[in-house]
Amino acid sequence: MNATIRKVRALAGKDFADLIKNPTMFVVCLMPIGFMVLYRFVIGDAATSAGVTMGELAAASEEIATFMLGSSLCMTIGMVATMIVLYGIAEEKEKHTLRTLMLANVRASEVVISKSSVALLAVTVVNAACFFVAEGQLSWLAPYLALGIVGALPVVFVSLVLGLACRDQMTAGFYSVPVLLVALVPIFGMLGEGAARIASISPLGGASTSSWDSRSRARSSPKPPWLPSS
Amino acid sequence: MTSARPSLPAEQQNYSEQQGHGAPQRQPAPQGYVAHSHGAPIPTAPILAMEGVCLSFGPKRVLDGLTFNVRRGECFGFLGPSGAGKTTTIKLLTRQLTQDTGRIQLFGRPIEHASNADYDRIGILSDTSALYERLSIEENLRLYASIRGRGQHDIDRLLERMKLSDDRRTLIKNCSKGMRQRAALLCALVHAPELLFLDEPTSGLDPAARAEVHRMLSELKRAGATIFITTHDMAEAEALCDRLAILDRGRIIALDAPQSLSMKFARNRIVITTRTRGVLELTRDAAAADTVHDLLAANEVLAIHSDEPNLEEVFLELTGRSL
Repeated sequence: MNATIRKVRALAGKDFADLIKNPTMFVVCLMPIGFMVLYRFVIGDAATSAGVTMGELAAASEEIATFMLGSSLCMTIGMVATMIVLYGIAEEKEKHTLRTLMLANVRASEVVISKSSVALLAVTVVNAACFFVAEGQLSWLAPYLALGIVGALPVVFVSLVLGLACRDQMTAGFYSVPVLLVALVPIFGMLGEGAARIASISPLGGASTSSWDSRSRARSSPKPPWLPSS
Repeated sequence: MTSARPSLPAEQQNYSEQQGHGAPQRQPAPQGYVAHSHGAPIPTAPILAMEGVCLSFGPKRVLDGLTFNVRRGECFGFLGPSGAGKTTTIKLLTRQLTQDTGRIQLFGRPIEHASNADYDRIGILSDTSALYERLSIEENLRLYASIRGRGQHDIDRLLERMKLSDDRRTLIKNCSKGMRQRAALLCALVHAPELLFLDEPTSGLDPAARAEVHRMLSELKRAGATIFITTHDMAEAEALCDRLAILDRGRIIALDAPQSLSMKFARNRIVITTRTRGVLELTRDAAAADTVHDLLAANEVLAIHSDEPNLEEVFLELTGRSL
């Protein structure tokens, strides 16, 4: 047991260092945060050009935050978890580092635990950053991060399986598309009730449901004119 | 695997208790071990054994009835051309492949029963050994030291030994092939393994780096480590190996000490370089003795050599093909 913990710690340290030093992975981790910053500017500009007062904007802030948080959750899990796990394993296979680890008496389970831990940690950090950019209420933070971890688990699992099936990073790129689409379904689910029903059975259905509920609440209240018409 | 075959000799010594942690230390020859001429112990108990091992990939027979054993503390070489089955043998011995028939024993136990603790006593440098390109040489070494549960205090010494101290912070992606190979070898050695599998360890190295690797392996051998090495470099095999198996098309066609192999295929000739009569090739017999005597008396002799074949010539003799 001690040996397993020691190996997982060493591997997680290596995976984390690799995540920081890999420009592709690092940029993917920054993308959801970038999207959140972009959303804020777009919404702010749209509100200004539509002549929305600061008071109206403040009244709709909860709905805006919910929409942004739902989107960021899906993007973070879809991009960050998939990238770290699926591409990470595919790269290790392609460059033979996984085989070298196995020959150093590292078990597959230890590699899996390490990759999953780093992916979940990265998802949590990126989600937290997105949360503050979206100006979510602080009371939502813990449930939001928990939802991110729970939602990421099936995506991480599927990515692990696909990563082990990949021969190289090119195959990983092909395999990651359906995972990414499934992870992003809740964003499409916000477009309508039918899509939301489909999204509710996806791994991140919770994000969709909460966002849809938020939209429903927004419809029942006076609708800010700068929100897109459904 | 067949089960009707007699079991191979069991381990006679618990060698792990004699292996110190940290820097390899020269050990006095323990009881049951044979003192080598260099002063190092050459134990007699096999640490590794193969008996009648066959392996096929589809219809192609890759290994055909391999039988050999490797004694503790010796450097055992596998020599053969590409495709002879050297790497496949290492893959079988490290459980990357499973044999179709035959028996393999590791540390005196069937390899199927080898535990994680057994594999912690092994170091492997395979033909595909790779390090993390975005990490430095030192970071890779520290990673493998952590995985193997070794302290970090040996790392400086190892880097110094491989002349990598100045490049310790160089990322692997910026290293030359020789530096990568030396770094990979260090990662295989970081836990001071009892048994070391090396698949063409000096492939792609320049002569200086190759000499450094040879020196390091010689020291490991003197310290009591067992080395199983594959190579197609004759000079390397002659320099490092206590015993050598020549492999051709999945079969061992000769197995002995390099010098013994050369003597076995000696052409029984001597070559004399003379002052005025050029180079004379003589058969070793009574008539030749008289000729040598006469030449010596006439002060004609510049040099006398016995004409033993080198390993390449032995291989040519055995297979009719060159390496």
